[in-house]
Amino acid sequence: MTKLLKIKEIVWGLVMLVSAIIMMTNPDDGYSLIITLLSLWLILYGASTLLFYFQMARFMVDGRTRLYMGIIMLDFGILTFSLTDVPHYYILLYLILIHAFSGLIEILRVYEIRRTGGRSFKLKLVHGITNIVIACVCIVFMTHIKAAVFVYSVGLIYSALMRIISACRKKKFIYIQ
Amino acid sequence: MNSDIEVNLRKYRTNLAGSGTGYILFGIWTVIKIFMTVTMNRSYIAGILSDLDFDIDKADDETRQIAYIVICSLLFLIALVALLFHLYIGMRAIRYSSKETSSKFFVAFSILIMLMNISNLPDYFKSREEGLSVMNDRGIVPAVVDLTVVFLLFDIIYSVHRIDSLENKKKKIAKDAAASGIEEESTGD
Amino acid sequence: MQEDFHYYATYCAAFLAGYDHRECMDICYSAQFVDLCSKTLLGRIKAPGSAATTMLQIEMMDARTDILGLQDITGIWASFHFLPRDLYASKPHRPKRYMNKYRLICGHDGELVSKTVELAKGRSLQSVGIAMHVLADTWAHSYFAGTPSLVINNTTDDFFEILPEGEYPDNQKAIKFRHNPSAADDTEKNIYTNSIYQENENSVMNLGHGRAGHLPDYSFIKYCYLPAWNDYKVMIKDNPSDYYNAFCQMIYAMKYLRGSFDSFKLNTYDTDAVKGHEDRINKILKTRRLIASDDWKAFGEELSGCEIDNFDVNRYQEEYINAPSEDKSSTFIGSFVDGALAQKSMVSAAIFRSGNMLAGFGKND
Repeated sequence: MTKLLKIKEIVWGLVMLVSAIIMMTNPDDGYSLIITLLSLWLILYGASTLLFYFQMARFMVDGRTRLYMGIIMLDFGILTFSLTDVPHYYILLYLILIHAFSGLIEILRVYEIRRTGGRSFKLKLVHGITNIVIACVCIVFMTHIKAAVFVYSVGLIYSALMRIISACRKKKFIYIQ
Repeated sequence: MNSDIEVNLRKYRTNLAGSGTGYILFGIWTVIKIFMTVTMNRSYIAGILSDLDFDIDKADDETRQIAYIVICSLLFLIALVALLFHLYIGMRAIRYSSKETSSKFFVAFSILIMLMNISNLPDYFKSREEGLSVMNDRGIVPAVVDLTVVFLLFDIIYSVHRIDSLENKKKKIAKDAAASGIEEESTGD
Repeated sequence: MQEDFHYYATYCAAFLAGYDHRECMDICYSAQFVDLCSKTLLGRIKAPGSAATTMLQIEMMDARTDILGLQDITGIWASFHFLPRDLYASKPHRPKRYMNKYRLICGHDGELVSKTVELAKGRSLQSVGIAMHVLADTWAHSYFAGTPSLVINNTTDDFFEILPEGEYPDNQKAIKFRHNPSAADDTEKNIYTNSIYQENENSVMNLGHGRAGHLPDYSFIKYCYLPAWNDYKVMIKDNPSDYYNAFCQMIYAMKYLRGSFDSFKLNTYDTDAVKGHEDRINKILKTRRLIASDDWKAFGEELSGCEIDNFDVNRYQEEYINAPSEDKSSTFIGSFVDGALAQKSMVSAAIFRSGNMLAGFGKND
């Protein structure tokens, strides 16, 4: 991981930590803040992916998938932005599903790493499984909203710490010279 | 290796695989979007019911609950069917691109769904009062999403057509080459 | 390319060009030193870091990928390992952002190759060695760019080794890649290590030929693959033929530098100089193994009748460290540093003059 990427991961981890604490102490403001930040990030990511596609990736073999990802991310971001006046119950469910989805992606990445003979996958696997377990526990406690918020916030803190630890780790770096 | 036919075959096979993958991604996204819209937008179901001339405010609690359950179930069923179509077309396209299958039945579905999508596009230009409330999700980005899906399906159909015609051309050239090779041998004798 | 070609093969080429054993040693040492002269090494001996000709893995991990970081990376890699072939190449309907990266694609017999060789004329043997490294790499690293770029340096997963007519359909055997840095490449099972796909355009993992693994550095292999930039056309890389041409071109270039010719012409390879040695050279190039240092060394020692010292990166460092400031330029590493700075300046300026900012600002000649 390059230094810049490490800093980005650590900053993102700290943002997640702060968001978790805000959610636990002041859920009303916390929800709005998280949804707004998430939607802005998704919209920017989608727009930058689309810009990259039109300027660069469309001339690349198999570059079209960037177009589709960019459009989906943009749509995702705009839909997320429209959720600001929805009951907290549903927002929590939405956040839980995103968490579960990211856990699933981690597990798929582990599968890919193992398939191509890589070795460092255990931390990713643990992180992925934990994300999904936390999401399931939150869904179980959905009717007890405070408990669900607490479990979700704990899950967010765990993810944040894992991100920071992962950024600080020395990683095997396959670079061909 | 780099004849026009080979280069174009590579290009269309890659496009087909990419469009197939993209169509699956859009299918998953459609399901997620329907789920989010139904669960997080309370007025959405009410809007559908009012389109069906069902006055939700005048109904009693039990009727209202049954109406919500029926509509939600129908919507999730539609989402599931949509996902299955997406998966079928997408995976068939990927398999066709890698020569794992030669069946083109999925193209018929692609044409049908593309025409259905095209017929829905004018709704984006209708006002909220004219249009159905299911089209509440208006705006440039949703229109772009639907246009992209139309483009995707068109790309799948076109790529299959081009792959077929290029493969036929290739076979014809090989046949002609084999025939002229046999002719040369026989005149040589 | 690896030590077998940059060190030992360059020695052989230098001898065949007419240099004596001592001169050959200086040239081949400098050629190989280009692959090791990093900012870390230069910092250790208190030499100018701007003369770095390579980046270590640890330096790559710490490299910034903002515009300044990219200029730093490109300045080194494009100047010494991926010399651009055509800075004014054109392709229809491509925006400037794309063309800036496209124009940095490395290739042999480009205008910058002749400028590199001409730059070494009248300069030290260290400059000759640097020029030979750069020239040789234009053959091995063709079709990749010395700047981080997904859209240029990416490839599909389909690599095939092209074999003589025989057991495989279309005479092609699939190459399998894995991402295990600790496992050695297996030439028998055709399993090699490459870098993982990175979707970020400016990731350092998208620099150079990482997606092709070490295949460009193995002289025995002829293979085909689909690069991201070539509009779905397959690229065939015939390493035995390319390495042979690189060897003959090095001889021609060094003869020019010794004064045998008035000018250096591109697409000219001194095949006469290797008469009587073609079979030996082709055998070395085509033997299926990861590195051919022993064979090249044996060939070089037979040619000159002298023993070729193994490469030792520390050989000249004490000399440089102990020399007074005013005499550092006349030490071995001092001369190397001067040559490296001149090469980097020339290439960066050429890239800048072509309207491309990826290597930073270059000073005018």
